[in-house]
Amino acid sequence: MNLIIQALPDFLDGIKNTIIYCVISFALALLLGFALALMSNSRILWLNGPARIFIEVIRSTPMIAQIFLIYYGLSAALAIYGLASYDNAWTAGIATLALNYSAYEAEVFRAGFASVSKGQTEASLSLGLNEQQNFFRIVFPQAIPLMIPPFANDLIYMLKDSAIISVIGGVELTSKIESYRNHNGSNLLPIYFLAIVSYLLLSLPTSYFARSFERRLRAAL
Amino acid sequence: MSYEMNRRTLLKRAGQAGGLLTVAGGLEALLAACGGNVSTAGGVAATPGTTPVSNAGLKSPNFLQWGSDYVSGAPYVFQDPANPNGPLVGFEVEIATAIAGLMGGVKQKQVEVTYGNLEQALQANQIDMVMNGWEKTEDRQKTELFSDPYYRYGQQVIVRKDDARFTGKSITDVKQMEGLTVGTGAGYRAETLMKADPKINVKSYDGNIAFSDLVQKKLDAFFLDLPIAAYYITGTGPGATPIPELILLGKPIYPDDYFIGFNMKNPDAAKLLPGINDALARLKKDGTLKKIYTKWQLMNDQQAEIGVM
Repeated sequence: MNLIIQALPDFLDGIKNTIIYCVISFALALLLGFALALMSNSRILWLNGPARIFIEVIRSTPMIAQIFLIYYGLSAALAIYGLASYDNAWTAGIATLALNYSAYEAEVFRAGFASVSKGQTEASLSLGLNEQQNFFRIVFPQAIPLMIPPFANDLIYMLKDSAIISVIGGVELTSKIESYRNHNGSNLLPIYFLAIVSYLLLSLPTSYFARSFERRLRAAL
Repeated sequence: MSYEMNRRTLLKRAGQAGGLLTVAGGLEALLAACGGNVSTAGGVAATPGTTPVSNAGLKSPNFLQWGSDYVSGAPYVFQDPANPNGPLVGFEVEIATAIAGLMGGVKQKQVEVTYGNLEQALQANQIDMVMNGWEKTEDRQKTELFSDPYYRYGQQVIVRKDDARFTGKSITDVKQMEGLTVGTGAGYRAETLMKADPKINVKSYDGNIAFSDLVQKKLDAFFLDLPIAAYYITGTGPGATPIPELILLGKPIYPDDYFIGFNMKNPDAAKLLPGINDALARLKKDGTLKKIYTKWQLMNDQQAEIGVM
């Protein structure tokens, strides 16, 4: 119990950092994923080609390799111009999470757009809407509720995947757990208990809000 | 929680292609116990004419199974980059070989355990003992027995050679690092020392320590065990490439000792401990330890204080 009280402020600090990492990264991943989805749906080869290559390369390589490449590889290149200090655990961590998840979110967007019935597009086009109007006013709004569950799923994954930032010295929940594990080998149960509760505290509200948000959107349609 | 832990461990191991070592170690011990003839790295016959050191309490009577982390474990125990398929090297490998040699017919067997999991591996009796730059912390004393010290080390400050803030100065207390961003290893003693002062911005690396971060000015300094600094910065020992941009600032501070740790709850530990202490005493007296430390450029006058001659 004493250990839990002693460790709590540190764990809260870790939770705070994990939230910051994930909120920024997930927002960037959604933006980039949206752009990638539009590009890969395009009929123009030089738009859909690069997008497909990016998505497949990112999805097919391990995140730990990506984070090392961004943190160590990019940093070595930036060092030539004296800019290496901008490539720190925060920027490299957020960039890796955002780039990695954008590939997955792009596929969620694509699947969402494809799930809206073709008849909707046919009807809107025959009513005289142009392609842009059709996409932003008809297809996209109907696709959103379909995409919320996979987005929530990915956000929960990201909350746990952000642990990878600890390999480049970033401070987040898992690095805090590791540090307490290293210093309290004789009394590990409270640490594990705190770790599980912390991750539950992060994940459960996320899924709860995603569900209620989805319910509202469906009701609005 | 266990999801990404497992994943991280898996990735790390896969990259090192060394994950099977633990299994292989167990298998080999099993084969040896069945009378099979298995060759392993290390293992020197006891010097004739002397009584061998007691090997009572070993998990497997023919193997001294010591836990340590060879992934980024230089110069303690590591894979020589010039000889990636050869036996493990490092000053602790040589000490383990020497101890096993004194036991007669016993071979040293390194069991790979991630540094952060060594304590748990010991509690689970997966190994006879831990030898991995192991310190006698207050927490470990609750669950472990310790051998006599075998090396006296200190914490070394590392800075950039061209950093004007440190020219002609030396750091003798962590207080002097207030306001600086200082790197160290996760779980290292230097981390504990610096975390006690909230004004120091500590950056802990889990696994590989990125000395390039200091060269690239992401940090102001590193603060860690002297043997690590000597190997990675000065370039002592096989496979080491010195980093000319960095220097060791002054002498190591906060001296402390490395010990071999045993599981207090395991009744065999109390039987093994006297044998290990006996072996360490002989190695200190006959100059074997001194020879090992000299070879790795770790020998200094502090060693006399723990009886290394």
